[in-house]
Amino acid sequence: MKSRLAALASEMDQLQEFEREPVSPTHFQTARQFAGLFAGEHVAATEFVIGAFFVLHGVALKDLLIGLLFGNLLAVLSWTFVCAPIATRTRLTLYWYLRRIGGPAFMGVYNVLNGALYCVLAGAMISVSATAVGALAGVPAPGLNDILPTSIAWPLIALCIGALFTIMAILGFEKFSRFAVVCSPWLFVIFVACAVAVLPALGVRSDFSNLWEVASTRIWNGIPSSGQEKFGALHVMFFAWFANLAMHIGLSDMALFRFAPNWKYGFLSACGMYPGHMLAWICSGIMVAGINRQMDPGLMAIQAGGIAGGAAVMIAGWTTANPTLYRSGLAFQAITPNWPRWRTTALAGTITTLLACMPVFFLHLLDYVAIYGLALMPVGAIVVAEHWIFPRLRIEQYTAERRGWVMNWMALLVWVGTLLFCYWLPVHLYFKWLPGYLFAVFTYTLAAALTRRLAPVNYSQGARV
Amino acid sequence: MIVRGLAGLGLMVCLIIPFLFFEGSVTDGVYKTVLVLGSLVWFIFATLAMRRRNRA
Repeated sequence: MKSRLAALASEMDQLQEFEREPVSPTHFQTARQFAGLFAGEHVAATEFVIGAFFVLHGVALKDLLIGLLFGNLLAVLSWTFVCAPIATRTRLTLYWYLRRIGGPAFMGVYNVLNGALYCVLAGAMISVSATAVGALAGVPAPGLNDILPTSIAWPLIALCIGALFTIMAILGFEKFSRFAVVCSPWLFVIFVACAVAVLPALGVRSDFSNLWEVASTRIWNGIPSSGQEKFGALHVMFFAWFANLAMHIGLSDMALFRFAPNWKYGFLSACGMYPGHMLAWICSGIMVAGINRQMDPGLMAIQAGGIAGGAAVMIAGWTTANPTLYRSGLAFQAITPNWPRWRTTALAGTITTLLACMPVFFLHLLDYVAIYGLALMPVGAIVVAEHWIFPRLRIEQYTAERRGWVMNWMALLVWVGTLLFCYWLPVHLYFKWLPGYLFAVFTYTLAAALTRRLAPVNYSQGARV
Repeated sequence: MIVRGLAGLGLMVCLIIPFLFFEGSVTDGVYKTVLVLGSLVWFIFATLAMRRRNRA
């Protein structure tokens, strides 16, 4: 068992080899590059669904604005005060830093789970793109409560799009990721254009004098659609905060911030949050009101923007699914017997495409986003405890690395224990992660304090790595 | 410089045309056609600009 784990770890290390060295100052990125990166990453296909779902969940206009304003602020602060400081101190990716803390097998578990979660996310993106093709071909999108496809045509469209996206992911990630950079400003403009074009149909006068009244009575009127749970400002705020939980609190954006000259670059995440997770969500809310609250991203974009709107849904789905498929393939490469990357990407693409045929994933995207962040959050808590708290309590750091452990079982136990704690916590899914995070930090610190030896004083004072 | 300017122009057209439709200055058909054309101009020239920058 131990030798198998070690072999898997060695294979995974080879995949990440080019990221092993801490970033040198000559490779630091400018503030403009960071702002552009964040602005481009957070206008995606999910935005067509999330903003629309807020309308369906009966969010009132004031609740929406307050929730988005503060939720996105909390997300920006999480990047700035949690993720960026660790990244700029270590200059390592989460992969290599977690390897020091949890051992290579722990990192393997994280990678595979992340890969599997990515597959579901990419599947949802393919489903969103399928609604655009479906709307053009006259195939209705599945109903809000559907789990399985309701017609033969829907899974056929999803299979074709999934196959296309998978082939493109196999052909070359680099080339297409560069093209994705071209798409992002255009996508943002299409969101705004489609929302503006829907306003006359909703009754907004050309001088915008009744915009607030229309927005609060015909769009975010506080009445949920049939079968949908009622959301308030707190739901919106927590959703906006945890929409990228795996990236900021979960620390996977250490991969980006290790290129930042200092931790203050975390504030630049606001360039992605406010246009993408505030303005684009508002725009998609307006669009769904324009088609009488049907959850059909393709139809609402085509109705609002014609062919350009439909193309935006397709392109947004593809630019999100493409790197996601690539990363899943990379994660699976480590657990397959020397399979080449194209084959693991094909495997990830096949799983993803089959998942895309089930409308349940995109129709429950909000819950899935919550579960995705929740599942990876304890890892961020473990890293924070090891990086910030252990030196102050003089607890030995990086024991797994020092003693050559393949697996830090204590960290794995805390991870699983935190998820069980969250599962049993009698609060709404959206609010579970925060107490769970505190639970993980506390239990990991307590367990380490009881089992590990004290670090020498000079070491604990200079915790910089 | 010209290529980047043309790309920006395409994007600007995509941003302005829905407001003209909102005001009632253009019809739905014109708005949607111009939106597609502006998008094409953006993709062609932004891709060209990116390729030139990568070569440099």
